[in-house]
Amino acid sequence: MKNYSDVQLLKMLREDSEQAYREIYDRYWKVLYETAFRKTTADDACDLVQDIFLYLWKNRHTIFLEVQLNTYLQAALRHKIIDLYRLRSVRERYYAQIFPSGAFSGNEYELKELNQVIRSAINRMPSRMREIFLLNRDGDLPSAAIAEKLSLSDQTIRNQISTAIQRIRLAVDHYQRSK
Amino acid sequence: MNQERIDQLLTLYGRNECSTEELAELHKWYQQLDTNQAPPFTDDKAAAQLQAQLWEQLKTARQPTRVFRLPVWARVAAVAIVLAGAAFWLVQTNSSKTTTPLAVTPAPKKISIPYGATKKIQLPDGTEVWLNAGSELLYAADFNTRHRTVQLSGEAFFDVKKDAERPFIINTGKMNIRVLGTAFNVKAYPEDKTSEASLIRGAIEVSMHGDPKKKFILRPNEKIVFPNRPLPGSNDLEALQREGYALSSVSINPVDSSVVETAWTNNRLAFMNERFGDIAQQLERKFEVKLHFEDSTAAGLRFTATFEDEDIRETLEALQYSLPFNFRIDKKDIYITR
Repeated sequence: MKNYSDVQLLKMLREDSEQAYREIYDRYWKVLYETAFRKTTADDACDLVQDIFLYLWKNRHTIFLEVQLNTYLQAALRHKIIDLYRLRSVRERYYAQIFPSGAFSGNEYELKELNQVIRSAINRMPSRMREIFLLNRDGDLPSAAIAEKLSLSDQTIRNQISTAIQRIRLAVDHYQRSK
Repeated sequence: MNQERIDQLLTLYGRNECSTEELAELHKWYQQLDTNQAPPFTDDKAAAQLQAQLWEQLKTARQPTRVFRLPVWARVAAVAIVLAGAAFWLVQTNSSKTTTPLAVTPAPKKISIPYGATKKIQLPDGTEVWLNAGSELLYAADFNTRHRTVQLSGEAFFDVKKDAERPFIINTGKMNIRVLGTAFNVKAYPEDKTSEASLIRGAIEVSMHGDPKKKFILRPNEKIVFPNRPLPGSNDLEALQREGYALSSVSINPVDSSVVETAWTNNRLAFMNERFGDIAQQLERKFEVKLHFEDSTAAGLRFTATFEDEDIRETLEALQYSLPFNFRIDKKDIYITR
């Protein structure tokens, strides 16, 4: 495997070769991890590297590259990292609106816990509500755009978003009182 | 570049609205991103370790295990019980209200399980509880002092510590379960069509909120099921029985004699001659998707199967082996046709 070129490996990958996949992973995991580690955290870097290789496997039949494999992988990583920062910035602003009291001025550990609390509150929402909430928060879409996308009325979307926020507030309140 | 400008660019990027110049600006910011000064690895050994570990995790994420398909199995005839007239109104307007508040001053303790996960916990009295995806268990701060009452929304398997002084009581939106014995499963997701309790060991007494005087005592390997909403048409005995409600036996998986109702505690998904429409709910919880039946006859197909680590596509493909239907997946939405 070591003697194959990237182009050959990709061709074998399209034919479902496990060995080729493993070789691509062995060749590139480290440089991707190091980049991700420098630009995020150790935890994020693990997730990002796995995401990229999982994507590569799932889409192995449809990936035809115009560029070098390593250029492609670095670009994929760049997209993922930028998107990670985008999500965080969007969420931060979103929650700053919900919690003017500055619930989010805690230490690293508390922030982690709080994120966990919010995540599980989101997970418990009815699926439609969750979808609407995530489009609004992570997708950064205004209610009118969501209404159009899901063919529902704007008022329905607004109600769902405000109920969703209500639920998160409650969960966060609850968590802070239990500390 | 200041934070405000970065946020602005990130937002544009998320909407796919960056001009070439803005994209260049963002890439420049990305180039100089340097948040983590620590060395990525202490030494080569640590790097090799991480390489192996990430590969293992990738393997798990990629590879499903085998699918077992079981012979179709007929349900044991149910014991006749009249549930007529009991009002099972699901408060549809606020399905968001998962639990009724407990009348205590200190904050009750709440354990919430996200979708796609299960968790085992131990209560202060030593009772063990396995909680299924999307479930919530609530108990007051004074649990295990004068009483042992918990609130459940969702599904849980209980192995209750014996205590003759203080009966263990479970409240769901539909029923009260008083525990006289030990191990049993309660399924009470507000969004499901039915609520049920299955007993594995010991004895439990189930009463309904709408009709607290009516009590059912369950024996091992019996289960009780009732609708979360009134049935269309009639609520007489025949209709309930036809729809598979009331008292019946738990389903035993002929392959390994395990009880189907508690398969989820071993991370398995098991169906015994269940309607596709009802299976859909469980798939939606496990995989965070939404199933749409574009052909109503498809919802009535009945399946018997056990799954361990398949993803949603593999699960549906396996079901296609036993009965003909088609599906198409559009991100989180799945459309079922005949």
